[in-house]
Formats: sequence, structure tokens, C-alpha cells
Amino acid sequence: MDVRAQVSVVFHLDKCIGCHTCSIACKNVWTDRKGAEYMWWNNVETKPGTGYPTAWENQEDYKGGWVKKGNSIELKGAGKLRAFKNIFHNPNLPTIDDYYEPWTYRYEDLFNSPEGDTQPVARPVSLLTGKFMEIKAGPNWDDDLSGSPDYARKDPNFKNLSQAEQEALFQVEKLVMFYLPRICNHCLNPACLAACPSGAIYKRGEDGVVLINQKKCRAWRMCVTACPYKKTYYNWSTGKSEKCILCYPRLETGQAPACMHSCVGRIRYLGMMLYDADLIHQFASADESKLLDLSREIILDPRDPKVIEEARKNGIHDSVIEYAQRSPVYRFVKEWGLALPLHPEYRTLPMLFYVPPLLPIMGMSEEGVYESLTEGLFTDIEQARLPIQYLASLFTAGNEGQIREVLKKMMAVRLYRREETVGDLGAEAVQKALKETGTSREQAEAIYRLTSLANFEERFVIPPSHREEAIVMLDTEFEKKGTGGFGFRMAVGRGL
Amino acid sequence: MKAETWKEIKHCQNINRWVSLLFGAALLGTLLYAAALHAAFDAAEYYEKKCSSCHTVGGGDDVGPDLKGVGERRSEDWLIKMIQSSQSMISAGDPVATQLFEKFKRKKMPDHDLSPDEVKQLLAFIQQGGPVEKPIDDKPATAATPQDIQLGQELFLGSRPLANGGPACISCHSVGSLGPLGGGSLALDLTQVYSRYEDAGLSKALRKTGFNIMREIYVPRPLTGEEAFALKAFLFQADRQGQESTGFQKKFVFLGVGGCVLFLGLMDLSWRKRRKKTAKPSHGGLS
Repeated sequence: MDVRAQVSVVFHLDKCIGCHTCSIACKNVWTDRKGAEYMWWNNVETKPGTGYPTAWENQEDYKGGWVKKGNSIELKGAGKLRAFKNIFHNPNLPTIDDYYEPWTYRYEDLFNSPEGDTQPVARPVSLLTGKFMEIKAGPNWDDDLSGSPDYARKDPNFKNLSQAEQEALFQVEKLVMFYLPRICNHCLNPACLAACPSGAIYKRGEDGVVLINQKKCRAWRMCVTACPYKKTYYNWSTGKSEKCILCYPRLETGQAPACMHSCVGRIRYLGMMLYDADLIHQFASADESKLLDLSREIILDPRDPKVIEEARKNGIHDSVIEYAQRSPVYRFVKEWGLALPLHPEYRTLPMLFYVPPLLPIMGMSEEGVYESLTEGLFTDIEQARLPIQYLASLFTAGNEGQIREVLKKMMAVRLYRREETVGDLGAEAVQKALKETGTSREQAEAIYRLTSLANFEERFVIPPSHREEAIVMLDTEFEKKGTGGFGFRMAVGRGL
Repeated sequence: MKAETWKEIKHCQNINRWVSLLFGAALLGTLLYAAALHAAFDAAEYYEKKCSSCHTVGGGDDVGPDLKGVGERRSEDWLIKMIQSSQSMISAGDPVATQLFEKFKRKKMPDHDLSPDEVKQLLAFIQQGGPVEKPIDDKPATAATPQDIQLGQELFLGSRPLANGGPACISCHSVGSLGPLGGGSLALDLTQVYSRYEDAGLSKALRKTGFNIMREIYVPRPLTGEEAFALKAFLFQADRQGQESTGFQKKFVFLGVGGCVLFLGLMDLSWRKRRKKTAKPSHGGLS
């Protein structure tokens, strides 16, 4: 057992309102720079939809992630030999058109224009060419556009849905959508890291944050191809690739990452988890049907004395173990089994988990007409407007049963709360629902509290970063002594 | 500004003045030294380097005329002008110069960057009888056997190395229809060199070359008499066959263009599975 610590995240999709505040917070802090204009380390997508970059889930096109080969795995698009062959011309890269041409507006024209008969307008200016441009696409161009022929209908997750099922989904009365916020998953088995020919990408020992060393990066861009989530970006100005850093400078000072801190819907949870690094290769190479279970199994119980002992042996600080025990992520993922990884079939063992949306369960239509007046306000999960198969394609590598399990549990908690507050369902029905999903009343209450009432400290359980211990891994602490604090980044010139 | 600061600036200016003076002196010294070097003109050495490959003093006409008694034949003034720039004499229409030019098969004598004084020293050297000539008594090429010609070809191509380690001729020269791409194109095509230089001249050019670049290369690593004869025999045969190498420069261009097209085609083929278009519907992607 090789116990390591990982900062993990849960996004509760039922609570996401698609306001993009997270994206803006991230943009303002990290990617409002030359060469980074088109990057959205955090983005929010409408699903069904094609997302950003367009159709990123279509790995036949982008060749991201891992594929199983025998008892092991290999990179789909950028393995050692293939990367070497293509090192001067990486053939599967997304183009700027797959992202979008970033732009700004000539705001000063609104103030400086001479008086005239018409209102001045701020014309859009390309951030790539500096010329006036006609905006044709953006990073969330299909926002709220479920059913649009250009976007929603081309969602790669429809591959398992029949044409009739797809058509049914796009009838006006049945249109359905939800939001999918995405950041780097800080995977346990990162494809970007494996693909880098320069060895510039690394996973921080102390908390598992995946970072790109800007000094070592040589712009081969194999990581851009390899990441199936398309969450590494090439900065055309610096000639280096960049990605979400999980706001590690904020984490180190006990603050939540900017996207999570600013989240209006409070959908984001962050906490420490312990996992067994010895199992990564074996689990990532497992059969597709087992991937979801294994990606949960690799996470260890932080209360297990044996795990604690092994963690200590690996130099994990007691405070980190203690914070891992209080991690809200651990509860969602392991204890309650409500949070699922996005596309586990990419085999990167992502450490960002999603509680799937239960939202469109209401208002089932009967022959195209809404039935909102019946006593049964909640219809059956099976008849949800969003096909189970669609969610399964996103979160469980196609296993509908596992999605159903999660939705039923969430449903049971709703029924439980309805009985608590309204009291019209009858204790028996609630008991039945809870029992069916193996949920105790206490658990249902806890799920409800963490979902709906959790405050800042409960959502973000950030352990002390113990930078001193991280430094000791590479250096002696005495060398660092007296080298911190304020000062000049460059030598100050003086004299002649 | 404080008085001390001013003083400091003043001080710096003084330092600057001294530094520039020192540099000036150093520069002047270098120039004087260079001038002194230039002044030491050695007529014998100059003759050996620049004149001897085409002229003799009393050895009969070669590529250019025999220089014995040239001081009596021509006026000193004429000689200075002729040596400094023969071509401008010819284009100016000097009858003697033109006549000589025609007589010696319109071979241009290179210009010599010499002062009148240096030319006089050179003339004095010739007047005294010039260098001690070692006659080159190579057999004429007509006496060559097919084995000699074969050896010459091997030496020219470099398949047999030169005894003293000189580079093979083909590195810079081409001759006849040798090989698919001919030889080097840095120096002249040698197909008709035998006609141009004739037997004795070619022997001399091979044994005791007068061309600057060749001198740099072959004076430390001279050809042996046998090698020179074999090469002459080979060049003689090339001249007799008279096949000018047929535009290998053009071949290079075609090969370049063809190779480029082939290479790009191969690239297109090997990356045929690359992403060819964007997925963005607004830019014509996603079908």
C-alpha cells in the first residue's frame, strides 16, 4: 500500500444554475493574459451540447485519453512511439477554431466618439489579430441552446441513443438541459503527464495537483492531444502549455480556489482524500464495466487504522489525515456513493466527481402535454426527460444501473425531506424508498444538510499545506531559510 | 543637485577621456604595424606566387609570354599599367596589349594590386633572370596508355586517394559526363581544360598550380609526377571525347523540385489521418 494525499472536488450538478461566475473568477485571476485569452481553465457547458472545445468528448477526432491494450493501457493519440513520430507535427490538435477566436470590444469608442446622430457602439476586436471581427463562435456559444441542430444534436454522448430517442429528446415539449462545469480533474493517472516528451508535467506529492513546469515545457503540445478533457492549453505568446493549477497558492493559504469560492449555487466541495497509488496501473487497465467501481475503490478510508499507519509512513502529516476524515468529498464519493467521475472510460482516474442532476424529473409529459397537476409531483426516474442512458454515457461508461442507483438515492432523500417538511407522503412510502436504496434516516439527513445547508467551512475542508514538509522533499529546509519574503525579482541596476 | 554629485560626474568624464585616449593610441599602433608589414614586399616570393604559373623567364612562352628581356621590349610605364590591370589596357585599345591578348588565346591576366614601386621591384627581379626554373619534363598526354587514363579517372573521382593526401578533383570540379550529377560546381568544368591549357600548361597547372585556392590546398600536399600525368591523360581523353557535362545545374533544380513534391506527398500520406477540419459548426465543422 502506497498511501498518498489528493485534493479532490465534487460538483453538485443539481445546484448549478449555469451563471458562469466560476469561469469569470478563474479568467480574471489566471487567464487574462496575452496568449491565454482563449483559455477557460474553468468552463460551464450546456448538456446536451458539444461543449468547449467543440465536441471535446469525440475521442475519435481528438484522440485523447487512454485505451486498453492487453492487460495494460496506452495513450490513444500520443504514446511514446507515436509521439516521437509526430513530434514536429502533432496531427490531432484542436485548432483555434475548435476553441474560438477570443475578442474584446473597443469600449473607449463609447466615450471618445464625437457627437453624432447615432449612438456609438463598441465594435468587437479580435485578441489574436487586433482587427475588427465578426463574432461567429464563443466558448459557450450553445449556452441554453438544447435541441439546436448545430450543437445539442451533435453531442457525442448520443452515440448509444437511437435516432427516435434523440428526436423525442428534441421536441419542444421535451427539451431538456443541464449545466456541466468543468475544470482540470487532477487525475490519478493523468494522460497529459504521460504524454509529455519533456517531462514538464508533474503531480505534486503533497496534494496531487497536476502542474506544468513552465521552465521545462518545450511546447510539443502532446499534453493537449492526450488530455481527453482538453484541459491543457497552449499559450501562443509564451510558447508553453498551461492548465488549471487548482489555485494552489490559494490552497496553500487555506482559501478555496477562485472558481469554488465564487460559486453562486454553492455546488462545489473540496477536500482531501487518501488513495493507494500502488493500484493505479491495475485499476486504470481494468475492464470498462469495472472502471467506475474501481475509481471509487482506489480511495481509502481515512479512518482505517492501517491506512493511517501507512499514510504516516509515507510522510503524510497527521493534520492532513484528520482533514481527510472530515472531507465532504469523501462523503459524497465513498460513503454515499452519490458523486461520479466524468467519463471514467478515459481511464485517467479523474479526481473531480459529479453528483448527477435530478432536476428534470418533474413535469413528465403525457402525449406531449405536461402533466403538472397530478398528485404524484415526482414522476418515476425511469420516465425522466433526460434519458438515463445519456447520463450513463457521461458518468458511468454506459452503465445505466449505476446512474439509476444514484438518482434513486437522491430521490429518496427528497422524499424524506418532503415527509419532514410537508408530511403528505406517509412514513411508510419514505421508509420504502430509503430502504430500497440502503439509506438510513441519519444518512438522508446528512446528505440533505451537506447538499443544501453546508456553509463555507463544511464545503471546503482545506488542510494546512505544510509547505515546509514539501520543501524538505526536495531541499534542506536550512537552504530555504532566509530566502522568502519580499524583494526584487530581478537584480537592481545601480552605479555608472 | 549637490556639489558632490557634480564632482562625481566630472570625475567620470575625466576617466572617459583617458579611456578614449588609450584606445586611440592602441588603434594608431595597430595601423602603423599593418602598414610596416605591407611595406615589406618580396619580389621573388610574389613572382613565385602570382606569376610563375603562367610565365617563364627564358623558358619559352607558356600560358603567357616569356618574360625574358621584357624590360627592353616594353617601356616601364607600359609594364606598370599592364601588370596592374591588363584588361583596362585592352579595353582602352592599346595595340600591343590587344595583340598579345589575341596571340595568347584571349587568356586574361588577372589584375595585380601593386604600387608602381612594387612593380619596379618585380621587374628588377625579372631583369636579374627571374627564379631558378626547374623544368617540368612530363611526357605528353598522347603517350598515355588506357591504364594511365583509368588511374587518372580513379584519382579524379577520389576512388583512389592521392598519395600526399590532397582532396579529389571531383570535390570542386566536374568533367565530361561523369556520374549522374557530375562533379562539384564550386570551380570550373574541366572538360575542355586540355585544349585551353595545352599539354605543357596543364602539366604545370597540375604540378605547380597558380590558382589561389588550389595553391592553398595542393602546395602542402602536392601531386606526384605519376598522378599528375595520369590526371592529365584523363583530362586529355575527356577533352577528346568532348562531352560537355550536360547541365547538371538544371538537373539539380529539377531534382530539388521533384524531391520537394515527393517529400510533401509523403508527408501528406503519412499524416493522412490527421485532423483535417475543425469541429466548430460556425467554421464548417461537424458533419
